[in-house]
Amino acid sequence: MDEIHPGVKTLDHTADVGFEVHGATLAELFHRSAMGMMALIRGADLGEAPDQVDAPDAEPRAPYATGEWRRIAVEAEDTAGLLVGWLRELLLLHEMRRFDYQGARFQTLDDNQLIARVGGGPDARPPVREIKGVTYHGLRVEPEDGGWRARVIFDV
Amino acid sequence: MEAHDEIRTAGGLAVERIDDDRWRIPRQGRMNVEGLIFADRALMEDIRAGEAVTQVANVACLPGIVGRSIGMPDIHWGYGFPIGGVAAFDPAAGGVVSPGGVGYDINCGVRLLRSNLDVDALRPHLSRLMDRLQRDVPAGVGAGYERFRLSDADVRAVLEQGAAWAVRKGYGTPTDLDHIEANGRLAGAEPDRVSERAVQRGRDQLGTVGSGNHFIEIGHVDEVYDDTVARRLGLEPGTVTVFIHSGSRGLGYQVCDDSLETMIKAAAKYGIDLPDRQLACAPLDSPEAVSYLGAMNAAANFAFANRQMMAHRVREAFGSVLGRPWMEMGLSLVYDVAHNIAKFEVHEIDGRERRLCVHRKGATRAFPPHHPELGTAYRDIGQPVLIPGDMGRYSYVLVGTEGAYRETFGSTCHGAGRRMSRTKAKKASRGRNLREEFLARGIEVRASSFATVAEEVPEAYKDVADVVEVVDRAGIGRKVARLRPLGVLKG
Repeated sequence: MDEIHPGVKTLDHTADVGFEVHGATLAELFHRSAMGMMALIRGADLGEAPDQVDAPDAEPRAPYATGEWRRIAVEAEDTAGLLVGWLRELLLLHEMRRFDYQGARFQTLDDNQLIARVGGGPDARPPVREIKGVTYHGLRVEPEDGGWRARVIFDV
Repeated sequence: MEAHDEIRTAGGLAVERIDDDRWRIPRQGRMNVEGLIFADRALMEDIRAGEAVTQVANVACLPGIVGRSIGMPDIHWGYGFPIGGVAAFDPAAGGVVSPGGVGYDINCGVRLLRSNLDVDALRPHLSRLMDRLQRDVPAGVGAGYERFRLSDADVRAVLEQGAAWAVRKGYGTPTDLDHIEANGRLAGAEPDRVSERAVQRGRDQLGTVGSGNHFIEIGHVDEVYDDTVARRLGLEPGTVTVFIHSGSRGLGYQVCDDSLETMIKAAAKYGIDLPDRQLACAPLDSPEAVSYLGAMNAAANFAFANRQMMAHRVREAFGSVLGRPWMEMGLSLVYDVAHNIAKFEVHEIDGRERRLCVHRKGATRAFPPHHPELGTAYRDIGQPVLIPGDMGRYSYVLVGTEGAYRETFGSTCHGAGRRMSRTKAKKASRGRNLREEFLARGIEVRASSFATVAEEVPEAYKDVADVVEVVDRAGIGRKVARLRPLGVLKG
């Protein structure tokens, strides 16, 4: 298991890639998951330098503090479904607009609904890995001592 | 049965050996049918260590599944359905369609071109040919054509007409269409079911390779096992071939994505208890299933057109580098097969013909001679089956058999199948000069990123020869020829 972002370690899966992520709060868990996915796209698990940016408060940092903001709203039957929906929206933003996620302000984040403003900017780094989809396979989001943990597998 | 004929998987499932190439997963737990895996003992050792057997058993739990939940010898751990799995569902018995049983890359598939060009005549031009392919066929993450974006009307036409659209636009010849599964166009495509997001995601990606395990491979016919059939396919020993492996690109990924949420809700609505959420599904006669199938067929047509356009660019690259028209080099299409698809087909169950929805997830259709769905080109010899191996070794061409029709809903394996995780493959290739290693094997590699090539090193895969031996011995495919790579363009 390689750490590709603080709190995010890759899982060993035969055909695909995935990670386990820990966060002190649900907001941090969602933020770190998003950063982890961006790290996978940039090939952090393929030996590229791990992304050192972490924002425990999930607030975007410079140079993107004055960058682009977008609104994301997701509804799902549970928190795990929300995490998949959240990552899918960010994946699409990256693929369609080259939007490089850096942080979020969560307005609502409960069991069934997520409303957030996400901050970032144009991704100057070339993508290395193509993520086709965020899967539900083996998906887990659960509380643990001192916070939350999740497992997500991506189709690549 | 003797004790040594039963083994257990890492997950604790019991599996019984039937014969040298078949293993049964007896019905247990909520399985509606038993499982059947094709593998010899050595391949089974690899398979049982992972999650693939559990995934075959999970698929057997879905409503309306008939016959058996099947695993091919290249089976490995997927997400939800195993990769290398076949399952058929009967609409009359509450059968379902599951987008996870098709995958994100709808109609991911392979096509093979043959030629009359001698391998030694190509060698002096190979390096320039590979450069030309790298320039002319976009490959890599999200790569598209900056100046080639389909209009709304063209997107619609591609989704409805598949490869025929490409041929009409001058990308190929009408003869090509008779050499493609379903003539390169699935009926029942409904472009209106494809979301705007999906269209946007794929709009500039028609005719592009993509990333991951997709490739264009120049090779040559290395060994022939059936002279008569090989000659009919145009595969003479020592002649140059081209494999193209890609699918429906971003458009297909998004169709799958869009459908999963709907299917999770549908499963709850129709009272389907899912062993894994990625197996989300809906009864075949439900509006959710009808909608998915309309969009899936449209995405499949996009994939057929995608491979058709790439083949055209390959032909043009040959023409330009070798300085004569591609037609003179006989660069014709041998066949094009889907290996991620769900299709309605007629099969015999308990002595009765039934119309079933056959899911092939990392498995290839392998219809026998005289099957009514085969085009005129190969009706008498059976459907060509294209089995690419890893980047460094070899690939195979087979034909479909009666055995496959009887035992596996007319299906066989689709490739070598991964045996090593991406993490392990990356570690195994650390510090190696992969470009030089391939060159030492006589293979020119062009890649937009060698980081992803590291995951695709030959030892990350099973030996495709072992996989093909099993399907040949078991009679669910028949070996015709072996091809060896000369140059590979990777995403």
